Amino acid sequence: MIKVKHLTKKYGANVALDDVSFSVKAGEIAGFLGPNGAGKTTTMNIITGYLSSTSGTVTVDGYDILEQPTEAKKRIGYLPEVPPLYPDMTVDEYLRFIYELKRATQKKEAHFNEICELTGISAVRGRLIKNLSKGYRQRVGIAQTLVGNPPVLILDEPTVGLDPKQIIEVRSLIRKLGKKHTVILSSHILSEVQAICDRIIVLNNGKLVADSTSQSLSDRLTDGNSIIVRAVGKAADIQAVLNSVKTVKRCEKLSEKDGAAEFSVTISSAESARQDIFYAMAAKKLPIIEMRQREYSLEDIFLSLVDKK
Amino acid sequence: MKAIYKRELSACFRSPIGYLFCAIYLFFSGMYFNSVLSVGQSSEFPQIYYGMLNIVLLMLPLLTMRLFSEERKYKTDQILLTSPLNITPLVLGKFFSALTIYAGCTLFTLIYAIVFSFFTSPSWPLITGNILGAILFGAAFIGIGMFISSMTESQFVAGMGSFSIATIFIILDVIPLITSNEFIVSLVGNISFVGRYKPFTKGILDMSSIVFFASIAASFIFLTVRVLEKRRWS
Repeated sequence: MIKVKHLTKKYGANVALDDVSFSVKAGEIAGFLGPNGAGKTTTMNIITGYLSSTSGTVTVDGYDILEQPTEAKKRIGYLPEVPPLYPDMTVDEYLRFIYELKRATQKKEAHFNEICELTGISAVRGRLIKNLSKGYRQRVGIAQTLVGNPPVLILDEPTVGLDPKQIIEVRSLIRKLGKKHTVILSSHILSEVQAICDRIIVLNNGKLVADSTSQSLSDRLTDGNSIIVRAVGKAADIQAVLNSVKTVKRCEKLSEKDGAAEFSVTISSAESARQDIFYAMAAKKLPIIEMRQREYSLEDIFLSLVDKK
Repeated sequence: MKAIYKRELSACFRSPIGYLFCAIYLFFSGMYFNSVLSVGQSSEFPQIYYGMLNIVLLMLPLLTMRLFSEERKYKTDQILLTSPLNITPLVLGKFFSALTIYAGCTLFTLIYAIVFSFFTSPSWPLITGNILGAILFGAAFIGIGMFISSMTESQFVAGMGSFSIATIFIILDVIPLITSNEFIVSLVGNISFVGRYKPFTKGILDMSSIVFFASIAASFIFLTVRVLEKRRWS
C-alpha cells in the first residue's frame, strides 16, 4: 500500500532522514518507534506530501506523492502531531469543511454519523472546538482523518498528552480502525507500539534501525535469560553465592544501598535456573527480596539494535 | 476552492474582524456621503470613493493579516496542504473571500446613490466606473496583504507589514507636491495606487489602470503560491 524508497531529507547540513526504505502492506498497522527527533514526524510529513524529500520516492497505492499528488493525497487521512483544528468552528461545521475540502462523495449525514459514532464525539458535535478538552480534540482530529474514508491513515503520536483512560480508548479505537484501514502511527512508547501494531519500524537519528513484526522484535529485545536479582546482605557475599550456582553464567553488580545489593544475572536457559538461585541464596541466609526479568528501556533497545548492526 | 472560500468568509464573521471592517468602511463612506450631500452635485459623488482610498489602504490589512498567518499558528495549514486540493485554488479561495467582503462594502455605497437619486439624477456610468475602480484597487492591495500574511505566522507582523506598505503608498502621493523633478513626478504617478485610480473618478475605464491593478493582484497571488510551495521544499 505504501512504499518508501531511499528517503533522505536534509535541512541544510542537518540530515533528518538518511536513506530510509520500508513498505507497509494493505490492512497492516505499522508503528514508528523512536525518541524525539528520530525523524518520525518528518517521515510522516513526507508521506502525506506536506514536506518533500531531498531524494527518494514515496508511493501510496501506486501513486507517487510528487508525480500524482492529488490521487495519492485522496487516499490518505492524516492526523499531525497537533490536531489541525479551527477553534472557531463547531465539530459539525469542521467535519463539513473537511468533507468539502477532500471532495468526499459519501452520503453526508450517514457518513458523519458513522464517523462520530466510531470516534465517540456524537455528544459534542454542536460544540465549538475551542471549548473541547484535549481528549476530545484528539478524537475530532482522528474523526477528520476518516472523512472520505481513505484507505490509509497516518497518525502522528495519537496518544500524546492524553490521560491514561483516554489513551486506552484511543488505542482501542486505532485497533478498530486497523481492521478497515492501513494505519501508520508513531510513538516513543515501546509498550504502546507493541500493544497496537503488527509491524514495528524503529527509527533513530534519521536512520532505520529495525523493521520487523511486533513479536520478533520483542523476542529480540526481551532477553529471557537476563534477570535482575536483589537480595539483602553484603554485595561480596551475594556475588560469591551467585557465582557458585551452576546455571548462572555471569553476574554483575548494579548497585548497593541500605544493606541490599542488586545484580544483573545472566542465566542458562535451564528451567531450574531461578530456583537454583533461590535455594542457594536461602541456604546462605541471604534473602532475595526481588527477582525480575530484565526490561529494556527505549535507550537500551536503540543501543542494542545499533550494536547488532 | 469553494470550501476554502466559504470557510474564510464565515471565519471572518465569526470573529469581530469582519464586523469591524464593515463598520469602519460604512462610517467613513457615510461621512463622505454626508459632505457630498451638502454640496448636492452629481459630479461630486465620486468623491466618496476617492476619499475612501487612503482609508481602505489602512483598513485592508485587517482582512488580509489573518489569511495565512492564522493557519500556520493553529497548524491547520497541514490539513490544507495534505488535502487533495492544489495550492493555487487554495490561495484563490482566500483571496476572493477577502475581496468579497471588501467588494460587498463598496457595493453598499449603491444605497447612497439611490438616496442621492431622490434629490438629483446621479450619473450612473460615473458611479459604476468608480465602484469597479475601487474594487480593482482593493484587489491589488489584498494580493499584497495576502502575500505578506503567507510569510509569517504572526498575525501582528503580517498586519503591521501590510500597514507599513499602505503607509508608503500614501506617502508616495505626497512626493509630487514637494518636488518639481519631472522624472520623479512621473515615476510616482505611474506606481501610485491613488494616481492610477484617478481616471476612474472621471468615469473613464482606463485600460492601463485596469491592467495595472489586475496584474499586481495576479502577481502577488502567484508569489503567495510560490511561498507556500517553497516551504514544502525547505
